[in-house]
Amino acid sequence: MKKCLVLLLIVLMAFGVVGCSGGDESDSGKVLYTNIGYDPDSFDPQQSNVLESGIIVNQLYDNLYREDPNGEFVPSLAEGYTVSDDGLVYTFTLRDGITFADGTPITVEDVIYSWTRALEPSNGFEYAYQLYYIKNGAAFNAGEASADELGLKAVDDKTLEVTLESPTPYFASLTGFITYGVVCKEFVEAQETYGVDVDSTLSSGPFVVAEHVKGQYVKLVKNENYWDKDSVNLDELYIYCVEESSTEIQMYETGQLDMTYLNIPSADQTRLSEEGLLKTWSTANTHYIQANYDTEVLSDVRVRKALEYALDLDAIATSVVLNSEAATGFIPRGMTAVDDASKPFKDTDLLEDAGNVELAQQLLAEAGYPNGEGFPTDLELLYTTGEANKALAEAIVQMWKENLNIEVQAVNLEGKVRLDRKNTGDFDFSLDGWTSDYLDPYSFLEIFETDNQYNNSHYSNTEYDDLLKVAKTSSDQSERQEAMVKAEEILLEDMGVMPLYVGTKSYMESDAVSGVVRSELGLMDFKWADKVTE
Amino acid sequence: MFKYILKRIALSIVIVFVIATITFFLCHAIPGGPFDREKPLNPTILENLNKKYNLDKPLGEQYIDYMVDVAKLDLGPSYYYTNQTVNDFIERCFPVSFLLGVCAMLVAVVLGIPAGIISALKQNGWQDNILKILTTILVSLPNFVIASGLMYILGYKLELLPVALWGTPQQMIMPVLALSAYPLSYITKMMKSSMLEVMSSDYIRTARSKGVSKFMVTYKHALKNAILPVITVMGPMFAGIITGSLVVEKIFAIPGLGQQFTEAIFNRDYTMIMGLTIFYSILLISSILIVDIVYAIVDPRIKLGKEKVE
Repeated sequence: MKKCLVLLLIVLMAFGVVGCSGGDESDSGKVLYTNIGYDPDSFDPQQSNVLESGIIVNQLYDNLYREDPNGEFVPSLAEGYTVSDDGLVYTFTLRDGITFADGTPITVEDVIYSWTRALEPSNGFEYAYQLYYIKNGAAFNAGEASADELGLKAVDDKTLEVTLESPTPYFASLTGFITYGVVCKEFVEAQETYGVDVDSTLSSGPFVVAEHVKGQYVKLVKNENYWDKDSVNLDELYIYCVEESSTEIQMYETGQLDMTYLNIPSADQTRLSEEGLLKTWSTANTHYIQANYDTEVLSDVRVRKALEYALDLDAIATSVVLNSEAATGFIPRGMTAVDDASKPFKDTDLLEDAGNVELAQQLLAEAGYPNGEGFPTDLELLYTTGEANKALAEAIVQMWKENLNIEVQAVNLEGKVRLDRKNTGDFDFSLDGWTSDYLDPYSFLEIFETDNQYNNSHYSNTEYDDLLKVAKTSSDQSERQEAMVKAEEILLEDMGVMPLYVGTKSYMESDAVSGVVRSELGLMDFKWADKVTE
Repeated sequence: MFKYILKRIALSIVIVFVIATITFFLCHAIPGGPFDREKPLNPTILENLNKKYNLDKPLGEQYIDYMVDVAKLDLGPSYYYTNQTVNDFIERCFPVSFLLGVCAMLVAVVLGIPAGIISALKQNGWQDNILKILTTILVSLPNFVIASGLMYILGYKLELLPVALWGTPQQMIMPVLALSAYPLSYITKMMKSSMLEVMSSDYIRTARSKGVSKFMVTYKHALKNAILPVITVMGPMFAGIITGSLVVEKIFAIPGLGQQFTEAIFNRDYTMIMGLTIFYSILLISSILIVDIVYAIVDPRIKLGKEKVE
């Protein structure tokens, strides 16, 4: 008995002793702690294929254009550009005195190398398609053209001439996308695999990577050779990869983190928003139901409208999903008009009739199913396994049951199983969301073009397709704006997609922190971030 | 015994081979592939990726290539984590899970065995009653509840320990405690019943009647025999702790291997699923083998490889 007590004491003491050594607070200026719940496997901008790795890469590299705190793309490594009358040739001029973190000057050669690298087929980079706008970009990536045939030309050390496949009015802002990040040709070629660790990475952006403790955090420090280093306030930036939201919240509440990033579970959302701690960040995403046109009953526009109108979108946005807004169309509300960034893309509500149960019942009756009689009972609504998706799917099915007296089964599937069924057309309804890669309404509308590979519901309307062609190729922004507004109206008149809500992301951030840019695309930029220290 | 061990090792290789084969074909049979994305990849890009990872070859050929690589102990590149091989992952993450498992096992054994003995010796006394309640609670609470509870009390309310992450000894305390709760209670209960059984056996009574002191009987004669069943379960239990630490690892943001296993399946990271399955089977098979050998050493009644000779 005594022996056991002694043993117990020894164990407790062992814990006690180690428990005493305190944390080390280094005197290294302004240090910010954040989390993205993702452990990067590469610091290579061309290889980056998930949003979270994009956040890190965005701190390490600069692009010709960069999104500023106002959400506008402004010249960064470039001073500006001119564009030919036919909208096909962009000429960028590089800023003077720009260098990589080791002091090597950044030249047009490096830009061309970076972009060619993204498209090189043997690299198998997933975001290569972001550069298909460049002449022969798609052909080169498919192995059908050589690198020399790409529409990239160095006029001199400072001047880059880019020829495009077709006029792309938003090309300058596209160069701000992660995949267009500028790497150093000489340095990359000297590495066996570029960007796998600290030593094989060379920055061109506001920060350099100083330490990577795999599975735990990445430590970035200010790049003293960055052309705009005066705008960079932080000395160090720690990016953690804690994946569990409740852990992240506790770390924030105990001061180990300056902000949170992960999706907050609904139970915590209620508590934290009551305490006034939640901030929201509007992101360019729309959540919707895809109804398969190949399921016979769903090919009738009256049925699709009835189903959409039977849904109370406000209730879904505020009490089921929490902290989001009811959709007013397919394009999320944060999107601005392409011909005038000060105006919203549209100010009409294309889903005014949503929640109008009488109209929904009438439409269903007209389609031949009065009070739901004769409506198939074996239809399935597929959703990806998860607490939030489950609540949403069940609310939808319940509203259909109550308002239209029809039975639809909500079926939860593991992520990739659902994708597989969706891609092979084996579904009736699918619960989906879309976040665009670039800020142009076209990035949303193109999904429902006939034959687009994302168009799993097989919606097709030639008038819609024609308008999208205009939106894609015209260099007249007002013409594009008009075409896209009309296209969205047609899409919803056909109810080719059934929008539900536009998302916002909830997060917490300490009052000491300012200047973190949270873009509509879901990225965070710490270039202008600041933290007040005592 | 040496011959027996060799035979067991040969059998183990066959088992691992069968497991690898089944896993390979099961992986490819689940719907969805490693490059299915919420935003489907452009066909050209998908083709480039399949070419890069040799997924464009017929399945049979892929299987042979893979098995040849495995025989050379090369588990292949991860399809999800670019630039990293499965071997890299195991080398980096396994030591973390292993250390966590060893510590949890130590806590369980060091506390569990004495607790079991006390319970048995003071059967129905207050010590036994307290331990009964404690072990019942710990055995029935899932480890994520214990983990969250510890984190809330020790990390958040009392601010005694860092909430999460890995590296310093302080950061190890909560995960180790959370992970050891179940094996600790299990060992306590097992030790107690085994001790009770031994204490009522004839040879103990004989020893007592010969005048050996109670202390000597307990620690010299009873303990040695009572501990045998505990040793039997310890091997698989240890393997179980190492492989089953994923929830605790996730809650405390520990970069161990347990987490990788489930993620690999969600990501359809074929090489990672197969690599980890093979690795874990080897681990489990060898831990059972080691227990069998230890058993033979501790228990003179057992002679390995001579079961059939009567």
